[in-house]
Amino acid sequence: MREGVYSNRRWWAAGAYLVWASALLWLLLTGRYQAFLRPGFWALLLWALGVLPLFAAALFWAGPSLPSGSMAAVPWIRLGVLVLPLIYVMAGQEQTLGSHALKNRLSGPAFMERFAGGGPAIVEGDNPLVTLLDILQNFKAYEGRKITTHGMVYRDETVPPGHFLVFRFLIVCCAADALPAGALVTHEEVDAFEQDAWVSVEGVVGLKTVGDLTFPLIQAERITKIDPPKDPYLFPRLF
Amino acid sequence: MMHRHELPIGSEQSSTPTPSGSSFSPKRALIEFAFLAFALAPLFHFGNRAFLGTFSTVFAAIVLEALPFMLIGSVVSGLLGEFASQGGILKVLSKGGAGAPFIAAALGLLFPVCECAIVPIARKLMQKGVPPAVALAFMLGGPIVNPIVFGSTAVAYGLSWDFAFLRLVFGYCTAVFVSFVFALAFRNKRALLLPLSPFPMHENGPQRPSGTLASYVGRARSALVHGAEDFLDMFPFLVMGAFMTAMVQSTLDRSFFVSLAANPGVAILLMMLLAVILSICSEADAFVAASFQVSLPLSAQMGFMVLGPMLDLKLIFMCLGVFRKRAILLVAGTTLVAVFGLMLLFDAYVRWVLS
Repeated sequence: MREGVYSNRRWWAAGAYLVWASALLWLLLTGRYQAFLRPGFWALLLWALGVLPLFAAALFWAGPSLPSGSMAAVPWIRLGVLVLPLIYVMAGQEQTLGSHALKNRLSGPAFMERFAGGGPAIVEGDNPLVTLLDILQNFKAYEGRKITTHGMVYRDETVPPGHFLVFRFLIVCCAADALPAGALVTHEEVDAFEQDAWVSVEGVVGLKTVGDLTFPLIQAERITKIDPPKDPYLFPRLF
Repeated sequence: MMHRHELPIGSEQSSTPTPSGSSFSPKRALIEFAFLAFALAPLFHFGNRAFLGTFSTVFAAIVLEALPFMLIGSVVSGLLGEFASQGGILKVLSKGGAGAPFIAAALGLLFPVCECAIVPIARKLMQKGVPPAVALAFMLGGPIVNPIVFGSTAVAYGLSWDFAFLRLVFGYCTAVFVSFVFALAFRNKRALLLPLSPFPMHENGPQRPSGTLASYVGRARSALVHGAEDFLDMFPFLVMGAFMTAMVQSTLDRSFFVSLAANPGVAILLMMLLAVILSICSEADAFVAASFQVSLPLSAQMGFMVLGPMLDLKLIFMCLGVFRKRAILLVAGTTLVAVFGLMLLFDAYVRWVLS
């Protein structure tokens, strides 16, 4: 009978691995993992996808002499803990970091030049489509020029009236290390855009100081609401 | 057939052993049940979708980022358990005496792994007979003293190679120091959850009929089983640590820390505290530290980068599966004091240079 109990636990353990493997397969196939991780992480997830079924098979075929004692005596509790992150992956579908996360992470805007080792090339031409990271890394090159950029809308009591902050998050490895990149936007109709809305801003780049902080400013000529992009985050090149 | 040589160390002594040598701990099952009940609560926090969005993204991100590295750690751990002989590096670490922590703390230069992968490997090293203090030096030093972290730190600080090198030196010194304090404090006491009774070791690994393809396949399968068991034992701790980290990240306002950091000592302490609760991977934490350049002194940023990979929420949870609580308290306390002291000296040096 005891052997039956242990054999049962082995099933639970193998099941936990297979649930994770299925979830990783789904995340990779749909590209959904990019809501959490840098795109280059696909290779590591693929490695994980290869190992998880191997672990499941090894436990399954190990025989009753090597049951999964690690599933403890109440395997459904352990299984619940093991798959808990996946429940939150599903719960957080269609959601990305937004103004709520931004509010907690505004510690200073002037660090962007630190990514300068891999700074993007300057985009030439009239009204080029550039990212907020492009503007922050090569501010001098874009100052006084007309550009178009995409981002989310943020406003709170610190944002001056008649302005909002257009922002996106930079991710080095995963969303836990996300840092905001933003620019103030001024336009007569800024109040028409709600918090967290995705917008395309077309205007001339300048500077504005608010309190102790200096932000890039976009004197907008046109602001339009857009659908959230497939890749909501920006990923600075490191080398 | 019982594999006595593979006693996992993830359970208290009061546990009931299972045939695999693993065990059922009612206390751990109860903790996991309580955690599960608590952890599902935010899902029903419908009133604040923004909070749920941030929380679920950060929680899932930490676990997804750590998962491949933990699997690497578990596979290496399984292979170590099955194939590593008592020669080579294991011999150096096991019988190297007072010199062993100096070598162990620098092993990350050869085997660059992050903190999520290193815990299962350190655990297996201890099962292989490496003294806990030496394995601890590897566990603390490995995530900092490694080339990937060196490179990412330099990039985050505008290709400042000397600053990146300083981080490695501080990490190395702290790891060796804590290892020696640990060795002294636990000379006659047990630091680990289960006694790591040396399992039968032979020159070529555990005794089996050798030389045949079948024996190698059998050992490879056995290595996978042990890796799978290790992973199942450690992964819940990672989930718990990531959950707590995400909870803090979703509620804590970082600018609040900056506003409190009026003098260097306070700034260092606050950034060390921030490193513990944010639990950011050592390969990415330099970019977060660099974002505080405008508002905080270099010593506070360095404190964040030196302490984080050695002591953060998810690591503390993972250590609960390896060390006794008093050992974790000693390691945490000693590491905090050592890093704080080093950073005060660093701050004084920077001020002296700038004056």
